[in-house]
Amino acid sequence: MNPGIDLQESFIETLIDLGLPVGAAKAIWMPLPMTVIIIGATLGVLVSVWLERKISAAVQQRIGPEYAGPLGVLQAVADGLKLVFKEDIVPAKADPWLFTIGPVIVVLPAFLSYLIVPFGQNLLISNVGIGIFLWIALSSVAPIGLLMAGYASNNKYSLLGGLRAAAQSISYEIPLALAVLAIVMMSNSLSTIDIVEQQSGYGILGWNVWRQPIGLVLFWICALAECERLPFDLPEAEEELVAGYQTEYSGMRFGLFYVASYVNLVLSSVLAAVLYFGGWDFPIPLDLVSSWLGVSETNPTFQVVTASLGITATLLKAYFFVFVAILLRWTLPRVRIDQLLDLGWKFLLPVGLVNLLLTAGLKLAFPFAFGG
Amino acid sequence: MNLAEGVQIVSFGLLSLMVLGAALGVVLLQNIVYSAFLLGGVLISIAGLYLLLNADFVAAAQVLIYVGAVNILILFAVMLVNKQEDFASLPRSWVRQGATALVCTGLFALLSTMILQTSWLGLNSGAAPETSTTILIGEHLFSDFLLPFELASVLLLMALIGAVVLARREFLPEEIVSSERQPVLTLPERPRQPMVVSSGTSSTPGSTSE
Amino acid sequence: MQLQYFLILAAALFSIGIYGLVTSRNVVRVLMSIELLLNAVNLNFLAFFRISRSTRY
Repeated sequence: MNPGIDLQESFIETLIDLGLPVGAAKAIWMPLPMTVIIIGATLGVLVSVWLERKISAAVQQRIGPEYAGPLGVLQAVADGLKLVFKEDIVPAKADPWLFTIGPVIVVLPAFLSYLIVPFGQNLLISNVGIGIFLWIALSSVAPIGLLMAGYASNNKYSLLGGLRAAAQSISYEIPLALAVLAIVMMSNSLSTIDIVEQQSGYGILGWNVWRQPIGLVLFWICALAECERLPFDLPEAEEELVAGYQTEYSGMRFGLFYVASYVNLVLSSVLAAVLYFGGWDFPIPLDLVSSWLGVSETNPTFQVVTASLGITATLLKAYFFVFVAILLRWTLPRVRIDQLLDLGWKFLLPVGLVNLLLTAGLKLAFPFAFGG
Repeated sequence: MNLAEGVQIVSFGLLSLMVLGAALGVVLLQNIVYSAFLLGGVLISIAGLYLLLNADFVAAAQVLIYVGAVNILILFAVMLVNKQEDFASLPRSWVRQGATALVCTGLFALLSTMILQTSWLGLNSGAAPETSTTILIGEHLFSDFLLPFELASVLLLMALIGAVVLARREFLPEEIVSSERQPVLTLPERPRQPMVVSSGTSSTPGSTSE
Repeated sequence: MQLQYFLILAAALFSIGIYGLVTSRNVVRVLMSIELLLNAVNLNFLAFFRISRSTRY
């Protein structure tokens, strides 16, 4: 496996050649990937909002947005602008501080989790050792923000929605962690880079989806529940709770919840792609391609092409999962709260444990195929 | 002092300010909901301090367990049992609180003089760990700390069963024995008053209570 | 990073927790104070872990 391009090294070397000290060069580099990723995440939100509208319309045999830009691609921007310019109301009996902090606490962990999303061998912000565990830990912070928003709104629907959101998030975190644990057991590492490395080399045949089909289903159900997507959008079930914890919100504070939910959706999809569909790995092994073409793997042009193919592959896989989520939204009815908790604790948790046990047994029996 | 050290000092200062301020808020604020949210702040800042100590796995576990589970549990307790009870104000509560504050300040002074007087015998090396802490923790848990680890899991299991028993307290413990005797259309809940466990003289369920 | 900073911070957190434990009249707040105590102890553990590393801790 060739290391691929390393932007950080080359950037810092260029700056040092320009006569800057090493520390300053590193300090200049540090904010760059973060900015790029934050902008990328926001763009991802806009794209998935547009996709959501278009695919929903197609499912319901409508046309969907079509006037804002070609095919309505600017509709998401228009939505966002509308939210920014709307009056930002704090209800009279609400608790203004908690009411403001709540959405911020929901948004921050979602963006922070992009720290570990890899788009290539060296194309991620930081290859922290705890990798995927960081995402699981950070996703458990958001319910505090939801509870805060629900409590501060001083509205019984909001409070019930917040409590439901927290209960749902806690219940589905455990099977989610179990599904991830089975993957981690196979790749012997929590780092997302190592997880993708372990799947690469055999093209599409090496991806974890063949080794962990139960795990993929488990992961995806739990990820949908964590993102509060239909069929698990109980915290904002409009027939029962008006809009759950968002009931009293308007303007940009509401927009933050909106952004957070879509960032979470895209993030879960990217991580599903990384964990089960080989991340940036191309369906055909790239060293085969390079030998067919007769180019060396260290050829700079080939490396640039590889890196961009990797980013494209990751995004395509991720948006496949986004598409599945949107399609599920319009095909499945919402479950009841007791069905939701029953499903989580009485079905998914045992299945997750059995899957973990099965993976451990297979790993002992076939160490070459299941990561020795 | 290079860049990394300066960043470490500054972030330690900020984090400790956050810890102490939020902890004071937890203890002193009247509104218990604020206290619960501030407790989350304390726990998150302590996770940041763990990161400063190069313990990344423990930091993530702190966020997962303390913030994601314990603090949310406390918030649930506060919000579901939302009975506004005003305690009768004690006549000289400030004396008690002042005395407690005095004792606690004394405790802090004692501890900090001890910390500053001890010379920590050349322990201040502060080298980064060679292997990742995750691997270290795993190795130790499954070799020399195996027994405590297993005991902790048994303890957790006991707590789990205890929670289930407490949550299902409303139901008859001897469901199977009494199920055939029950009239058809009653709920299988036992009466609220405590039941006599003596089995020999029992008649129909529900009439065993005294 | 000096060990003493972390130890003093943990001592301060512990004292605050003790104060809360003694003065609070609400069970949930007592629970929260206990959490503060536990975290102060954990902080001590981690600080000592950082500085005392031989082959076997």
